[in-house]
Amino acid sequence: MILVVDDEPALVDVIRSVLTDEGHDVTTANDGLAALEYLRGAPRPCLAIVDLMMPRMNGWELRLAMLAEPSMADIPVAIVSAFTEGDLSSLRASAVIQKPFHLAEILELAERHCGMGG
Amino acid sequence: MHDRCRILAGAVLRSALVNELDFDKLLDAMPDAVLVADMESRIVYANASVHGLLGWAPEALIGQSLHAIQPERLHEPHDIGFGRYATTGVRSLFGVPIRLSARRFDGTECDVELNLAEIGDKSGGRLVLGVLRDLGERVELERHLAVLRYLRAITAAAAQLWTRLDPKLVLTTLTDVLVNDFDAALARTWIYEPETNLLRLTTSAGLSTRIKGSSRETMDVTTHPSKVAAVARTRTPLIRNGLTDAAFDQEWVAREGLKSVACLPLVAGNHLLGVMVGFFREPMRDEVSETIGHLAALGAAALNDARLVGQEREARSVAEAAVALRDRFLAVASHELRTPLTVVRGNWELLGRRLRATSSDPDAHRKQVDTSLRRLGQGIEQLRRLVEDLLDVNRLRGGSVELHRSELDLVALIHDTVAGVPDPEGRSRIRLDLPAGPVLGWWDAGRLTQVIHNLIANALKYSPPKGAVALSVTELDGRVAIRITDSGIGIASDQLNAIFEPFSRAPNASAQHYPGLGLGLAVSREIVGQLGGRIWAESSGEGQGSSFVVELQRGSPS
Repeated sequence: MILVVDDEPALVDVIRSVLTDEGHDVTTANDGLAALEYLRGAPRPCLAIVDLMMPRMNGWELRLAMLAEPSMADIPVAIVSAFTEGDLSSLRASAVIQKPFHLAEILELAERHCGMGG
Repeated sequence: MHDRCRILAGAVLRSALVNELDFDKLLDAMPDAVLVADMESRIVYANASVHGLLGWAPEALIGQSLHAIQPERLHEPHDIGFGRYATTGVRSLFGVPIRLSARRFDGTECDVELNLAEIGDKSGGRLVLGVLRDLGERVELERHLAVLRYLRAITAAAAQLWTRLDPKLVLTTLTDVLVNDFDAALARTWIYEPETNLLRLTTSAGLSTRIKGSSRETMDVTTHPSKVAAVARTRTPLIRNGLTDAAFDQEWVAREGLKSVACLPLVAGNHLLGVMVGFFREPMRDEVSETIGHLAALGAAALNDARLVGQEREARSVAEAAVALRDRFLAVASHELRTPLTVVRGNWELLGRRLRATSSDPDAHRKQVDTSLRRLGQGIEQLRRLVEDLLDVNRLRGGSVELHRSELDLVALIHDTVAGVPDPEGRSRIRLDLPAGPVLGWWDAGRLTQVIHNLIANALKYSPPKGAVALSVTELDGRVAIRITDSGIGIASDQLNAIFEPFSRAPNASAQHYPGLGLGLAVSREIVGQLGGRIWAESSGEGQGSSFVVELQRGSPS
């Protein structure tokens, strides 16, 4: 299961489409709070793809909350960002993907952390 | 003076008792005229200075009545006063300096100051000591004091002039000083515009009656017939008594009782900066003509400073605003343009993958390709709108957008706009409070729809997921107000105006990552401005929701 966290429906849609086309299972959340709620009650995903800029709870806050909970701390996280400045090292992300990205980057990450899809 | 008189009286008394010094010599050395008279008003003593002041030989006065040194008109009042004093001893004029006229030996008069004291003679009788001082000298002193007073007023004004780095305030100070300290009946200043060669009336103080003749609000320096223009032309001050010249409105001069004028160019370096003028109800006093030039020089220097500071400030603020706009654009565009760009690129790649893929289910495949194409179209549309907004705000600010006014019903337009809100969930959160009948006015339908659409979209965007948005229309004396109120994140008071600037977004909006280029309100403000209306935001603060109000004139077909 891959968790995609982004507030932009069109973006969530295209990521989900390419992943499901390749046979991955995908679940989505439209902000950090929704994602945290999902992570607390569901089996742990093999990868979380997290946008930084979101209302309510943003990507930084979500990632810091995940790092604070032992059950979530080691979930691989790929940060998706239009944010060009700033140091993201404190987020201990597996990857940082700059917008606009290629779908191949997403697929490569999914294969690395979740294996080849179904 | 009075003290000196008393000391002198004491000295005379002591000399009578002690007789140590030659008091005659002492008194002769005094610059003041000293006279002693008895109770019959007869002069019993006069010092040497009497000659200098009154032209009398001192010894010739001894034995004469005080009438000898008084103009005839004062004889009677003197007799009455002196008689009362001699009989009752009441010394009403003693101890205070008295200004009066004295008669010289040659019959001419002079102004003197008289101090009186009573002394006793050796036999215990009473004598009156009078000390007379020439007031000619005093008048000179007073003139110096007056000059000093004017210079002090100018110095006080200087402090204000230097701190007021604004041309209008500098000129206001000048007219105030002319009226308050120089006693001008009317003071005015003009600023000179080198580009147009015009003098523009800038400040005015004192009487404000109508002056006939060509208008003096703006004057061409080369051609205007007024003295003010002539002073600007020649850069030469005009300070004079009598205003009989035809350049002055004679009826006005007579009505206001004006006697003199001082008109000075305000020149700094080689630059003519303006002209100041004062009209006075008394003949030009020397102290005014001597000091008013200093005031003009000081004013010109301060005006020049204000002008330079103004130019610098303007250049700096234009440059700073441009840099701030660029920074805001980069910050906002990096996020807001990259996201739709990612959607477009992602869907384009997805489409390519799907078209290349072989499928066992052609229908499902066809559907997937259609979905990708549709999303690609939507992403491109979103980018197009953003680019359109960018161009729009620039075109609107440049004033190159033509409005197409037609008679509209605002109520119908709002219904249509609300129906056009893309998502049904958002649409269901809008509460309308509209007049029952049509609200007619001459507006640009497309542009007004754009404004209302922007405001509704913002209200929905910044409100909680199920938060209501209220839209009302009220009519008031030919104007119409559209008010859109949300229950959203609110606006801090210092952001109420700033959010209308292009690319500017309230800190709480960007911190919480609400999407937006920060152009919707900028575009809306430009449109409403061109429609001749106003738009503003109201909010009790962050978290308190906000209202946006658009106030429109009903307008006319043109």
